[in-house]
Amino acid sequence: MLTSPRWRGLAPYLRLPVRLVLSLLAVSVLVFLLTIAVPGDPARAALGKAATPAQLKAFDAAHGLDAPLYEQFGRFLQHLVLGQLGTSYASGQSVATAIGARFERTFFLVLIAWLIAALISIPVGMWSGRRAGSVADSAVSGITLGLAALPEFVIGLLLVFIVGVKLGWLPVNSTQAGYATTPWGDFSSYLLPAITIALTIIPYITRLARANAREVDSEPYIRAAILRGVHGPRLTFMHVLPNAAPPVLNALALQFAGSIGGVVVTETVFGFPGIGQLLVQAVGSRDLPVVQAITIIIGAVYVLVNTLADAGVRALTPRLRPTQQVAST
Amino acid sequence: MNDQPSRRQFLGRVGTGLAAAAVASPILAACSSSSTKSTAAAGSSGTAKRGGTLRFAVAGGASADTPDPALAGTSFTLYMAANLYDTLVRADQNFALAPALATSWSSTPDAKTWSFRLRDGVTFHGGGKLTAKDVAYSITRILSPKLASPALANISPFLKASGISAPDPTTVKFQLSAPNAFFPQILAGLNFGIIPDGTTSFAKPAGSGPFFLQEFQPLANAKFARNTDYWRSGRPYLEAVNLVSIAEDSTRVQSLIGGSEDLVDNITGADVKLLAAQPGVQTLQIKAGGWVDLAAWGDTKPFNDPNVVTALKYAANREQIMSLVAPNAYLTGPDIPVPPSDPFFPHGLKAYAYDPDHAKHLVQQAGYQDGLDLTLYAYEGDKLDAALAFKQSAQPAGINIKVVTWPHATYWTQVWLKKPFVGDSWARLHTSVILQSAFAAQPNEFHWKDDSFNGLLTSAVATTDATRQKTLYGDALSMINDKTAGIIPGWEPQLYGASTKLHGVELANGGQVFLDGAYFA
Repeated sequence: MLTSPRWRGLAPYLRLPVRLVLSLLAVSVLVFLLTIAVPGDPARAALGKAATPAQLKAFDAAHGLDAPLYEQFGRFLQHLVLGQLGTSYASGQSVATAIGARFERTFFLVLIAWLIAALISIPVGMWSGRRAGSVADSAVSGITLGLAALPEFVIGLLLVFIVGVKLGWLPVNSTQAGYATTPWGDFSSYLLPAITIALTIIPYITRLARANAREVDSEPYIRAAILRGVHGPRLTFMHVLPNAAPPVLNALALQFAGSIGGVVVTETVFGFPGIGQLLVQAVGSRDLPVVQAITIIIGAVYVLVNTLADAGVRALTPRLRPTQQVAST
Repeated sequence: MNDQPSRRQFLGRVGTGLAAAAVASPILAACSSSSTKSTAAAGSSGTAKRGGTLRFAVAGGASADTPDPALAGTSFTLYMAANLYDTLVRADQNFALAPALATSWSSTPDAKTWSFRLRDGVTFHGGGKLTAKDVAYSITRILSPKLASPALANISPFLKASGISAPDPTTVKFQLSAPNAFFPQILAGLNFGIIPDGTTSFAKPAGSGPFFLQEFQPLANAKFARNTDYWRSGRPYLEAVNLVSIAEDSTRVQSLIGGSEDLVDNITGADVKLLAAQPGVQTLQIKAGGWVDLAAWGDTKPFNDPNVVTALKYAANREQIMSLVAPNAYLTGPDIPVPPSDPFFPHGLKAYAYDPDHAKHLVQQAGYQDGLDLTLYAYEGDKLDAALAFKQSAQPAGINIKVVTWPHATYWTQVWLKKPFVGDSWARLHTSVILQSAFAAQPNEFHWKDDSFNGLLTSAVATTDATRQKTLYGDALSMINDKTAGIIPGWEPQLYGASTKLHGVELANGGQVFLDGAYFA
């Protein structure tokens, strides 16, 4: 069936989900192997220095920490196939419950950050790339280079101090986000961490947009457009942008996925109740089901966004489109 | 145990929050300044006002946090337990006991049978009157190893479930398996909060405490509202308490300065200086919050030579060590786990004065003509600070110390009780408890085993005569000061930052914060 010209046309689209499932499986196995290497002693941490060896053993048994590795891996795979995230060793709570609301908050946080970053970096990068060598371009380059050199927690703490404490414009910490039932219920709590994340994405995307705009700018069809009398924003956004966009979009997509996994530091700085904050603590208390679930979710977002970005770029770039239309007609 | 925060361990310390808070209860590293207030002053005021919501930002917390008092271990859960539940008795900063759910208590002269008379008219949050059955149930469940309560190790040497009885609705009796004159001290721990008989779920926890729980998300927040039926008349004064989890120290402190929190825990020396310069904020503290120590195995070469042990004690510049561990707010003292303010502190006991020349002489006498080389393990925070400062102070005595910085994650499994010379820190515990867990328990970090010492402890817990207790503990503590292979350079405070409008917060050892008397002026 699949060999018939009719079906062969669908193959590139079928390939995507298959690749998605395989990538996820690979990620899960890797995650399991990594998490069993996490050091720590939850029993001693919970029971204290005075606990006897018998009491420590009882704790391990009660929390499934004494099960042999193959058993743990079996349980892990079983849960995975069934789409269950398991039960937290530490709290006995369903991992899905522990993560659900947090994932929603983190996703929304990254989405805001990503929108801020896209809305700033693409126009600025395009504008600056078309003026390569000018004072304005040098200024943009300098600022983005400086921002890129600042670690996330420095940006975060600076924002806490300046915008939160000195100016008092936005909440100093994001703990109130945990009380709201919807992300937009306490929108202001999201802004400082979102700006922090955006400021880590902006330098990269701006520079990429700038480089691509510059490259496209020297293409013959742009010179042709200029000779036809096209100029200003119309030239930038109607002619340069569509041609410079695909690699930038791809990078933006990856940044989105990367930020979901990279919110750990920002969430910790702001006390933002998302999955990053939970992940750090779960690693510390060696709560493996929680660690595994969060890393797999992050992996899944990565794979999914990457796949979607590929499809998007394919759709935007004519020469990357599958040739099936020709074959099937 | 505390993690003195630094950029170096930015992420590490967050992850270790659980362990940090649980293994030895929080001792909060830091220091004080002129603006530092003693909690006695903060706790007393005659003009308490009703109303207001207290916003309290907490460093420690875990995904596994639960409102079950028996399982409270992180600072977040300890604060929750203090709001939700009452214990039979409450201990102050020097372990003086005050009535809580028990109005009186007494023991037989052999300290083996204890009875507690319960307060009348106490109701639980969900309704229902407090009876002896509730107390018996609450204590019995902690004795089950399956529950894995951090309090199990404290109580299991003295009490079996069969020893608990409720002869009448207002009396609880404990028939101990070994005498303990300080048994009520154990029951003052927040893990021994009283819950209604038969409680198995904590989804809607019912205690008798000053506040009841409205909302709780582990590692994020907990909302409490005033218990209008609270048995302490007029209390609590606050309408509500909101706990939030903020692991990052700078954000916690900036939130206090910026006015979005009223109380923050686990502040550091740098923070205290920062707070002193800001209007509207103050620091609250317990001066002797916990002790740091450098512990060696007294039965292992070279520490099995008394000359080496004494040399180490003379080689410690306590002032210098403590000024690094807890700048501005430290106390120095002899090598014992009891601070000078404690009623059991042996009168007149002095610390070994820093004397590197004499230490050098002792090292040579022990046969190390060219100096003594030692390796000391510690993880970042107060332990590492103490180790590094000691390295410097011991160098002139010809004692060369290599300090190994070990990751916190594996310190308790691979270093503590595994390496012969380690840096450690402990929360301040009652004399009877700390001498048992840190010095009599086998193995202990000093490899200290002495029959006459054990005899002193056994006699001290078996007598109800306070003078005799003091003599016996005095002898035991002097013995530790001279003979155990350990240096206890001093004490660090338990520190909190607070709005100057906040009054009446009561602090007790082991990171206990009581808010029933707190109010905004």
